[in-house]
Amino acid sequence: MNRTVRLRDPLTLVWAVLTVGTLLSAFTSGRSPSWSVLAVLIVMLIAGIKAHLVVAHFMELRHAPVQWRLVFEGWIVVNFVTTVVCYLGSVPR
Amino acid sequence: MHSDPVVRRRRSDRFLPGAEGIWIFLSADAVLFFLLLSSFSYERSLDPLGFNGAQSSLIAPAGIVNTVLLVTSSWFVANAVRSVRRSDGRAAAVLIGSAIAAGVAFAVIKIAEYSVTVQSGHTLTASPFFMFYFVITGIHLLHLVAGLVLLSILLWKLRTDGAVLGHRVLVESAASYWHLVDLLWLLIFPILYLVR
Repeated sequence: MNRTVRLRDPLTLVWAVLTVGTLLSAFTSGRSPSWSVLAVLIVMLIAGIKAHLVVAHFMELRHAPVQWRLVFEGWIVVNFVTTVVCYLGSVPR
Repeated sequence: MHSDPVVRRRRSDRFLPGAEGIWIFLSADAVLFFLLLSSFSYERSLDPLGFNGAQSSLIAPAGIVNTVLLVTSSWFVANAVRSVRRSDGRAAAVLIGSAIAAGVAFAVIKIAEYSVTVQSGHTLTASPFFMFYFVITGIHLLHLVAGLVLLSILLWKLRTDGAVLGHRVLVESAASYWHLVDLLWLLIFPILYLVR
């Protein structure tokens, strides 16, 4: 019987990075004081990388016509920039 | 990277999984959530102390577990699509069933989280933060439930009608929708729970 899942399979590697990334960003946020710009940048960067992995590998848009890839990767970037800009604008001086 | 013969392509061959119409819907949905999340981020910037205070009542471990459940569910679905392309209906059924189980677990935890949150006095009208929290995660939960219905229909077809293995577009469309549900949560979780 053919095994449908191999440990070094790209999809499994993506899953591992997504899971580790989730734990890492939660840890970073939990261990940092409030108003830590660095912590927020790390958390959002990890979120962006995770989102990219889902778009490229699970949604398979790395094989898609470039306009669709641009739409979704662009969506990730716009969310990242908006969140960070609003956050930076709110940090107490 | 994909050694699957059906998926292996020359660089000049681009392919979009599922029906193109699905992707227009998914894009519109993504824009909707961008508007919700950016509204949240903007409102938060007007009252950061208030929002931070309210946010501290959130149950972060529930969000973490839910994120892992959803990425695992997406992994099951991605593998199921691969099985369908290889005409392995039995493996696809097991994988879709597993994806549904993970999705149901997400919903159960989410509802339990809502229950605890509301009982602590943090209702939808309690504060702007909680209005955003319930609306954003609630609309996401509705999307997830719709996705579970789609996956259940797919599972039923896989188990009762072998011909569905030939309906690659249908399977890929349902899978793409489910991955969007996962993708949306991957931004909702850090923005609502972790940015502070």
